Amino acid sequence: MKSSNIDDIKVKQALRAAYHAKENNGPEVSEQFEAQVMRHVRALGPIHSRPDYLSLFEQFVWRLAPVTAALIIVLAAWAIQFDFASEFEMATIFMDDPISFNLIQQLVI
Amino acid sequence: MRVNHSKPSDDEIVRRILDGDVNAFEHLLVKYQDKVLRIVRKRIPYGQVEETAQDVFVRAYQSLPAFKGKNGFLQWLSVIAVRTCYDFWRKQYRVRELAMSTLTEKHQDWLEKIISNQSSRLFNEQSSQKEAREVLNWALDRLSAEDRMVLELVYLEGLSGKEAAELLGWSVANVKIRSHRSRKKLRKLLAESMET
Repeated sequence: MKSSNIDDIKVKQALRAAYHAKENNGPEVSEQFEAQVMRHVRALGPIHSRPDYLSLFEQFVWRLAPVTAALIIVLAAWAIQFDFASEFEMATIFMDDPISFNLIQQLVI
Repeated sequence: MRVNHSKPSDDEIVRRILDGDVNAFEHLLVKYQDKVLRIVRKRIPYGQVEETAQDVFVRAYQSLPAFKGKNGFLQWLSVIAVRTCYDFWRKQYRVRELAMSTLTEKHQDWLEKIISNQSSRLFNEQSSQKEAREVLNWALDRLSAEDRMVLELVYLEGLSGKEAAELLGWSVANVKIRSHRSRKKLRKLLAESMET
């Protein structure tokens, strides 16, 4: 049998009919169903609306996202505009040898 | 003085529960029990329907602080019911041992008859419905929990991608891709079972 035959609308209809029949043919729940649920709920005790910290944090993050993106663009433009390379070199010299860097600074001043 | 005998609205009941009146939850339980059971019965084996429906209401109770009332309580509860069924299958698939059996001859015959034009009213017959249900269960058992849920919602219930996405909490694109793949898998499963 070719699989394309399976696409047949009749198979779909038959499977759908079987699926929806499940909804009505199932057994009824026991008489204790409601009592059992309420017992469980009472055991959990009263619930109160607490602030949802996770969703508050998410809101905060998403509100800050455009500001952060704008800040990154501004800083990148600033770094390109003002020669960032020389600052970077100075920082590298300082990191490599902070003592002699201080001496050079003092001598220069 | 006039006494207001009208039933309290869902929002009002939710507010009462959140104010500490646990027993008010019974109003919601009685009102929506049948609807939840209908959702669960379609998706879960009959033996586990009651337990799963209980789970739905307990989850709903615990999630009440998050209820915003935007789309109504029933819609909100339906989402919880569908996701509880999804979680049921995820747990089930982790521990299940899948039998490698193929469809029986009886089921293969049924499928052959459906595909051929022998009987247009075949699937309305009681015995045929039983076979259809068994074929459906056999095929669904061979799909992942995700494929199973999406196939049920989109292919069998005829929900749109957006509706299914809202119920499952997935993106519409994800639902569409899954729906396409799961239909392909179902088709392949049925075709292979017919070939053996």
